[in-house]
Amino acid sequence: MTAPSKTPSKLVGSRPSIWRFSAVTLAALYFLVPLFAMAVYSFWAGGTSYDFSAYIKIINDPQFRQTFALSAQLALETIVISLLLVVPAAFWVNLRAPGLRNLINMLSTLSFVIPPIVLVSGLTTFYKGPVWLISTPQFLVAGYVVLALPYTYRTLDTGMRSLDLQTLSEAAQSLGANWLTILWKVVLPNIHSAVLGATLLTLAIVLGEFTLANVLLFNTFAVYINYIGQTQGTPAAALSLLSLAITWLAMLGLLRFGNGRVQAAGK
Amino acid sequence: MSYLEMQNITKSYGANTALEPLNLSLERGELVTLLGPSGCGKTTLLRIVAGFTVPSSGQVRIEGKDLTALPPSRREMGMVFQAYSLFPNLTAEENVRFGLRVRGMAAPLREKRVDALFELIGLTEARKRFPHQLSGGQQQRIALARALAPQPRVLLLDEPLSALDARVRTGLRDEIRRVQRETQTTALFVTHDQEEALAISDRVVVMNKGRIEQIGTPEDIYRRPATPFVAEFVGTVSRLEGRILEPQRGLVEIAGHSLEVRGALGRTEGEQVRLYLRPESLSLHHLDAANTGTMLEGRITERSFLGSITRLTLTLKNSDTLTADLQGAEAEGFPLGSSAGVKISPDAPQVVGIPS
Repeated sequence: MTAPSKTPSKLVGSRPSIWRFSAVTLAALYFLVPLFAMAVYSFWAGGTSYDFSAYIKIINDPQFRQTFALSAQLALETIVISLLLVVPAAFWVNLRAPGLRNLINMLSTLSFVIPPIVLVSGLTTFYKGPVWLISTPQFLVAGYVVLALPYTYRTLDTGMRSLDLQTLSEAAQSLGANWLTILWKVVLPNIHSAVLGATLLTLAIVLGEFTLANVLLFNTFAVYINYIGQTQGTPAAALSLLSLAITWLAMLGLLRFGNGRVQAAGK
Repeated sequence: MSYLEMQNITKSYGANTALEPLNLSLERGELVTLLGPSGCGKTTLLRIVAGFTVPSSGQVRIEGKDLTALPPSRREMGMVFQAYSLFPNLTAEENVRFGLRVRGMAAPLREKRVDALFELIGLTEARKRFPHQLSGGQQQRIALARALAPQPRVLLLDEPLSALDARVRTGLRDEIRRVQRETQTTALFVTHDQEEALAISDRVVVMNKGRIEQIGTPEDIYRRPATPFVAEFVGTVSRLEGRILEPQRGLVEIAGHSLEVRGALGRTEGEQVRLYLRPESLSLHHLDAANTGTMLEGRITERSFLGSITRLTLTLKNSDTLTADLQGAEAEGFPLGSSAGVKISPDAPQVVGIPS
């Protein structure tokens, strides 16, 4: 009996790892090189000198804080409204109207096929509407909810489909729980990861949304970034990096908060 | 007046009838099992009692009060499901506490009740574990405790053992019965497993095609099946077809032999009948010159050793088969292929007329 040759398995094993390494390196370079170049440029202070002056200028600009605070507030409002709308809708579709799933899926992805500029022209028809709504930046939230809908609906729907929603809700009902209690105490805690995912995606979308705010003349963080980008050099690079860092920190914070709770339930 | 009553309940889905009009009553503290094959309507009936399915007509009453229009959350019924239904985000004790919190029970009373329930199911050490840290059997025991926690008026069990392996199933079956007896809870149990139904129930309701075939004690159902379906669905049974010879003496002609059968008394001469025989009611005998021709005779064509018993299949000369269970060494004298005679006690066969 001859011993089985190890060569083929070695070859088979080494090829994918080389490819994997190359692919990861290429992807990392694709993302990191521009960031690195932007970082170097953001510290450039003319000639051969480098310092933090661009960062100091941005941080001391009151518009930076105002526009970021506004976008963060709009993101929070969008997240709350999206969850209030989509969680019960996805719950109902999964539990009572699975036949409507395709229709809801299609509706939720409309914002992919309808460009934001069309959405804006739709929103502008509301200009004759109540002043308390259309004259404030909160007017943008309606559009943001629609823009975020494909991400929130699909993420929450996937989360709910991973549960035996019917059995869990019937068990809760038999124990005396009403629908609100079921949603709050049974469904939401068990789709925690999905809620977290939807929240992160919505946050990223709202912080970076430019078209709606610009056309409707609201000065949000994305509009401010665009303005700085068009009028200043190194501060624009510094601001881009700062906004990236802020978004990532916000996401990491949410993830950390969420993971702590999810791990406790052993998910 | 019975404790729980189902009156003229029907359920249809479009042109399909899931439940024919049926009536069923449970006394307080009784455990009644709905037994039947898949699609017979047993789970539909249970879900109507729970309030998850709306009946097409009829009423569900507890102590005379009509519950039919009440939502499940206000019926005060505990339910244990076939699928694991513990809330994954809550520990075992939080699951048990859930119904008590929802119903607003004061904390000291609530904790006392939770303690008592964990004592009752013998899982005190698992209180802090999450569902994914529990075995299937433990999960169902916690689900039982959770369902019992708010002291439900009726406990509904929808095939709670079917996802478990055989050994755990038997243990948990006995546990459910013990807990139900100790708490004196009225319970409606659904299963398709006849052994489970016979072992656990005060009464068994055998269902088929949306109808109740028979309601009776496990002994009634097993020994005195009311319909051919019950006889064939519950337990192992052999079937012989014959003709009434002398109704006054209870004589039936089977495969050219005349058998005395008490169930044939008073029937019509010449009537075609079917005899149902349990395997333990047959006695096999070696054939010799003296007894040949005095019994049904056949050849052993199958032989299965089942531990405490050996199951033999005897094929008669007319190709009918009989199944007999023999204890231990008794079966050793009947090897495969050997001939044997069968004696049937007059009380053993259940006689059912065959409609012409």
